[in-house]
Amino acid sequence: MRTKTALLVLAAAGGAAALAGQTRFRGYSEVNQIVRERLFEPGSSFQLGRYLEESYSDRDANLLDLLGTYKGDDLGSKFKNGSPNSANMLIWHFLMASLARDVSRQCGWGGELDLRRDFRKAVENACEWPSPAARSPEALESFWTLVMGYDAPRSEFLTWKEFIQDGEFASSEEAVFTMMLTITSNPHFLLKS
Amino acid sequence: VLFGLGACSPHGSETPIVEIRCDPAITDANPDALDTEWDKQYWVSKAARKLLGGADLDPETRAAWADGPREEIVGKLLSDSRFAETALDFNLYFLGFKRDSLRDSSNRLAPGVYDFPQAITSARNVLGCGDYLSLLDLRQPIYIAPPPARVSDERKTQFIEGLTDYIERIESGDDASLKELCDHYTQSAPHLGNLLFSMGLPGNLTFSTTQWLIDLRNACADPGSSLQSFSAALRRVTASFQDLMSAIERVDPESGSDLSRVTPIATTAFGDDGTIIQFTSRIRQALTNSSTNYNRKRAAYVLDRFFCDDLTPVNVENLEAHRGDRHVSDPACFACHYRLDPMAGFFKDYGIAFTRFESASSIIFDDMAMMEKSKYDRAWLAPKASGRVWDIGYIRSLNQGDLNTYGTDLDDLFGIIRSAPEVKRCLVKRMHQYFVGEDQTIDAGYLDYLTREFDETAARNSSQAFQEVAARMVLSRAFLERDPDSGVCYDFAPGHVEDESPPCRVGYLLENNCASCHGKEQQEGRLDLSRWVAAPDGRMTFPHTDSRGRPFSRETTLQRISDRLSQPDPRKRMPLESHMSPLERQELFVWANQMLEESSR
Repeated sequence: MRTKTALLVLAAAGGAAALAGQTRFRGYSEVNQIVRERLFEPGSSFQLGRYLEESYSDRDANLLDLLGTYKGDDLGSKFKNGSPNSANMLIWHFLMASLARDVSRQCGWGGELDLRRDFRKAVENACEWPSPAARSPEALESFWTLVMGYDAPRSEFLTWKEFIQDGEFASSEEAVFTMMLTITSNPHFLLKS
Repeated sequence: VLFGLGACSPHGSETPIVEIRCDPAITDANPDALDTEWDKQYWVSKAARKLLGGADLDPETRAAWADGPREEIVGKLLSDSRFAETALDFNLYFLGFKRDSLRDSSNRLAPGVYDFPQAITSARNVLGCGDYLSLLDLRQPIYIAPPPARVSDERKTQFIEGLTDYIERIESGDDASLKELCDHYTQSAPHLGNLLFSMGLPGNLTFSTTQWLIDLRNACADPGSSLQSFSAALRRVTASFQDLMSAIERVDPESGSDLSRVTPIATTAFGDDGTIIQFTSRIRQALTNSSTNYNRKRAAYVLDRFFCDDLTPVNVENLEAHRGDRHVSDPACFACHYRLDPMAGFFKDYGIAFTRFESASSIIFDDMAMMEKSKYDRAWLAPKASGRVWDIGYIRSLNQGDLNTYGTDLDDLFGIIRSAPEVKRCLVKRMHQYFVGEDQTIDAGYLDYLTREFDETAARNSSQAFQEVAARMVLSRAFLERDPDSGVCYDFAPGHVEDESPPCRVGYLLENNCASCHGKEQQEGRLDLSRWVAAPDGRMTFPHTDSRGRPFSRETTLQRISDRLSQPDPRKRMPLESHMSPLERQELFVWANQMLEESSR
């Protein structure tokens, strides 16, 4: 299954590369805000940067700036490091895989993330994989829209749903991990619309 | 019914719902684009993020709203007090200092935001239907981040004692001369400066307070100064310091959580004229000057951010007539400097960290170099025949002086900024970049249409004008597109007919400046710039033939357009014998050259 996940993620990255001339990453701050809004309890202090042991800083430079930022001394509100490249794709992948791993741990002993109630419920349902309830189109659509919102066209969801429903995962944890990683690596999640 | 808000109601009032009426430019906007629940929710979410300072609606609200008319949804979003955060974020973008986030990790306004009081004032005014265009005002109040830095009593006492010592010596009839006192003061000034820097004041205040020490130094340096005037300056600084400390203690510690609670501090405490100008700490650090750049960095900033003039070098006409000007020996340099240098003159009295040296005998620059002020000022003296003292102004034409707007100081510059049509057009252009997409092409006719609408509403209420344009942006076709082509224009002014129109980026500019001679009725040089048609080789070009009726290649046509636009000889420079705005000339020139570059690939 890992190979298939990698292929879907690579396909997503390929989509990003194809759009690279016209479009850019949302940047660390915006993606972090979206993740917090959609997945975590209101008021949560969760930061994706924790997986790199970095925290967004207004003044100092760090690895997170490679994901797209308005910081810098240049005048003119220029967005820097926003074009997808091998370095920032690697960092995004590391952050999103780490988040997916933490979310998938909900299937076991629970983990430490302060997830929103509706998202926690969707994850708990997905943790029942491969039960029919977890594989149902309604459950998958609910999971998808909670994470992706409506940022991607419905056709993206349908492709993803087929990929997940066909998946032969070794465990429910791997299923949730794959669901999370493939959504959060999608260009519609990471790129400016 | 023309597009517009029903009325501008202050947020928090009894009638907060903003009513959006139809826009003739967008009533038929992509009717099929939102035919599914999925697409409706996508648009609501995208519009919410743009109009609520980056935040989305919660899923339940979004789903409940999605089926309503789009105008009604935009009205609700504009009625939300978070729209002021969008205004603030856009204002920072317009000023060239956009941030990743307005808020810090504790969800308070980030300290760096306070460096832009004009952006805060303007955004707060949007909340109350006040003057949004205070964004373009020179004189500003000041805001500081809560909780205010707690200045220790010991430091306060040290600073006051450092000044009162001199006052007491003067008042006790100490027979020390002004020179002796000033010499002594000069030695202790670094200590007082260090005290100010070590008080833990917010950055934007520290820079402002150092102005006090410069005022004292000027009181010493002024040949007409006396013990009494030095004493008076010392008293002013002492009183200002105490006022400021009291004001800091009164700041609401919770004000950073809500833009409406951020309150201005009276600025009588700062500077010799009692007000802060736009160029506060962050801008001061970014817009440094030197003994050699003659404020050109500051001028380039103003031209770029307020006039959307990125100084693309397009040759100027009639160089011979300007033989005496600097940089004229190199036309490529003069092409920018003729606009840059007169703009730089507005800053001639401002040296290091925007300190005023208006009446000083010398000026100090950010690189710590020093120059005799009168010698420095001579760089902007106008030729005697001009009838002006200074060659300082916003230059639209070298040959038609009556098109230019001249002035002397920053008050004049900001008077020009408030009234120049180019600035309003630039503001609306930046709004399109901010709301729709930075690289998204906008039809020049549509931009002018939006600018006219903005101007018309702004004459009554500029907050309403800002809200209306923001509404138009999120209701536009380009905004509706999920993956818009950045080279395509999706929106046009009412009455626009696609037909064989030239590419939208330049179509309107060609129609306004060129089509009377190179249009449907008349084709001077057998060139028709009103049509963009397929050439025999299938590539798009303007109809253009030689005297025997044979078509020129696309490259030849574009190269000739580029050459005629940048031709210095007024007998050949297009448009012949008529003025074309340098900004429009730039846009057309850049486009022609981009087309040529694409053709050569």
